Amino acid sequence: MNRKAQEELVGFVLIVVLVSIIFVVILGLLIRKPTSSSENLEVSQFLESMVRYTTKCALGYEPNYVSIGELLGQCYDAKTCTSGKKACDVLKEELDNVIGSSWLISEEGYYSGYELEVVYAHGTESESIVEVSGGTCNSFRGADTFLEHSGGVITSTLKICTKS
Amino acid sequence: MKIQEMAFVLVAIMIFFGLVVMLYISIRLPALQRSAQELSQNEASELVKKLASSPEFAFTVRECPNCVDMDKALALKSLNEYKTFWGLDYLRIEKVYPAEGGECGTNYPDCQSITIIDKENFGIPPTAFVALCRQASENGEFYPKCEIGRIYASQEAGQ
Repeated sequence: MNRKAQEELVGFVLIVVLVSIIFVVILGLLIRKPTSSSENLEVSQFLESMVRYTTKCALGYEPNYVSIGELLGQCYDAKTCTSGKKACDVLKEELDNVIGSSWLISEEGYYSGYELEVVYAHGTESESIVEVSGGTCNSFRGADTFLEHSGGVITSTLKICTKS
Repeated sequence: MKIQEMAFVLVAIMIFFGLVVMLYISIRLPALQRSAQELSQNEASELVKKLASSPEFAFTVRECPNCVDMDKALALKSLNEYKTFWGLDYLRIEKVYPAEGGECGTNYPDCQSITIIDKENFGIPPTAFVALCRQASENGEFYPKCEIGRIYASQEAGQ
């Protein structure tokens, strides 16, 4: 093999390697994109409906049962329900049941897990109210909902996880 | 010899671009399917918002957008005038949580679903989450009780 043919071969190999690297980078970017899913309409609708759900926690007298949205504020204020249970304990229990049952979350199902984080923000300060999660999370669909409470804002962020 | 080499290079370039196009299509296709699904979801959402805010379904005991009054829905089930009112092939309200019982009738409110319109050949109806509210009573006192549900609504073909 003469010297010119050798040079051509090296050039060809270099081009192939370069093109392969570019492909791998593009593929990596395209595949990674769906895992950080932004606002999802279905999850957003669910969150809006969920904050209206009437809980088993009554405040002051029965049947003054509060919704999940109101219970988030009561949990932040460390209130107690007429049953004697703490608002935060009832809230966690209700959230687990509502999310798990509505999305049919299971290891075998399409939806494999969920993560809910509720934060109260007033001015520049913010404080976590409750965090609940279940199952496993690879990729997700997420949404936020905002509620006013005592001059601040309660932000609930829900991620519904799928296997793929 | 030179022409032969050029022909080989041209064929190689064609194959290369063919592969690139195939790769692009295979990557874009799922994204297109996702977009179609999102559009269908948006359509369902708009339809459900329209239905939930209509006087026939709206829960007016307290301010509650996206809330469906189950008492009204049950009453609508038996009214034949509403079978063609919204131009729908299928309209069903289903309680998702807590799930209990079957189709609502004399067993209301301990039931799971209210089918208002059920024509033939409606396909797979789009769906959206809603809050299902009603006036419940305890100790002789009424209070608004909301649960989580879904509306399934399919528009008539050609609409």
